[in-house]
Amino acid sequence: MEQHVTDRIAAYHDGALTAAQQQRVAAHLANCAACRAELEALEALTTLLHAAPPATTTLSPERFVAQVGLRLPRQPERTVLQQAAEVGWRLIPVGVLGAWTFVQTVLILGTALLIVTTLAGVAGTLSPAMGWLNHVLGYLPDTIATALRGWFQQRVAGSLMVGSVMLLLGIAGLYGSWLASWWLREQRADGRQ
Amino acid sequence: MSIERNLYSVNTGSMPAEDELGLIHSAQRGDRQAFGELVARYRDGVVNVIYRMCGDAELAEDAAQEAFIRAWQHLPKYRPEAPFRNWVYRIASNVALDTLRREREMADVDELPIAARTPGPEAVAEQNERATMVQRAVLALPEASRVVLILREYEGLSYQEIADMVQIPIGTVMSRLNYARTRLRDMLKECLEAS
Repeated sequence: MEQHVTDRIAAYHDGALTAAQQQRVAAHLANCAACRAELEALEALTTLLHAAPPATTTLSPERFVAQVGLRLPRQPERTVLQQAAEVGWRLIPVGVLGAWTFVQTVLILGTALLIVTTLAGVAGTLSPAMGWLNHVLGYLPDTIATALRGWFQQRVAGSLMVGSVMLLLGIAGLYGSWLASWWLREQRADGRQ
Repeated sequence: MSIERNLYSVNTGSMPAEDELGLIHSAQRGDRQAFGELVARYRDGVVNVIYRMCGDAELAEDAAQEAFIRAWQHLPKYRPEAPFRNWVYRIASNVALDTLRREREMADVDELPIAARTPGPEAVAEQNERATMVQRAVLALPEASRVVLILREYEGLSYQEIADMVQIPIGTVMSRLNYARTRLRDMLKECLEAS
C-alpha cells in the first residue's frame, strides 16, 4: 500500500502545497480511509473553531475611526539630521568607491615614483629625500651597495602595497560594521512596533 | 524532501492595491483622513485578532485603537513590499500580547464575559456553550501557538505570511500550528464527537 501522507495533511488542508503535491495527496486520500479520517478531523476542528463568533463591538465603525483620530499623536517628523543620515547611508557606497579610487591613485603614483627613484638610485642620482641612503651606501663596496639599495626599494614598495591593502580592508570593515549597526537598529525599531 | 521547502507562499503576500497605496502614501505624509480610511478598512480584522487573543471584546476594541495609534506612529517606516494588512496584524498581535501581559487577569478563562451571555432557547444556549468552550480552549493555548492558530484559522493567512509576521521560520509556524490543533482536538474532544 502507498505510504500515508499524515505529515502533509495539515498543509493540504491549509492549501499550502504545490499543485503537484496537492494532486498526489488527493490521490492518496481517495484510497486511504485513515488519512481521510485525519483530514476530516482537521476540517471538523476548523468548523468548530468558527463556532466562536467574532467580537461584538460596542462602537460603530465611524465612531471607532473618530476615536482613533482623536487619539492620534503628531506623527514623528523626520529631522533634517535623520533625513541626511538616510541619504548618507545611500551615499556610502559612493564614498567607498571614491576612497578606493583615491587609494589606487596614490598607489599607482607611488609605484611610478618608486620606479623613477629606483632608476635614479641605480644611476647614483637619488632624490634628495633618499640622499642619506646614498651617503651611507657610498662607504660600502659597489656590489653590496647596489644589493642593499635594491632591498631597501623592495621593502618600501612592499610596505606601500601592504599599507594600501590594509587601508582598503579597514574601509571595508568600517563599511560592514556601519551596515551591521544600521541593520540592527532597524530590526530593534521593527521589533518595538 | 522537506515539505516546507515546497510550500506555496499563497499569493496574499502581494503589494497593496493601487488605491490603498495612495491612502498609505497620503497617511505617511501626515494625512489623518487617509489614515482614517485605512482604519475603517482594517478595524474588524484588527479587533478580531486581538479579541481572539485575549477573549474580551471591550478590551480588544480599546487595544485595537492602541494598535492603530502605534501603526500611525510607525507608518513612515512601512514599506509597501509587504501587504499593509499583515503589517497592521503584526502590530495588533504585539499589542494583544502586551495587553495580555498588562492585564493578566483577563486571561483567566473562567471569567470570560462570553460565558455570561443571556441564555436563549435551548439551541441558542447550546450554541453559546459551544462557543464558550471553543474560546476557552483557544485561550488556554500558549500565546506563541495561539497567535499562529488565530492568524491561520480565523484570518486565513498563509504559512509564509505568518512566518514573516511573527518572524519565525516556516517550519516553526507549522509545528506551532500542529501543536495548537492537537491540543484543541484533545480539549474539544466532546464537542467534536457531538458534532
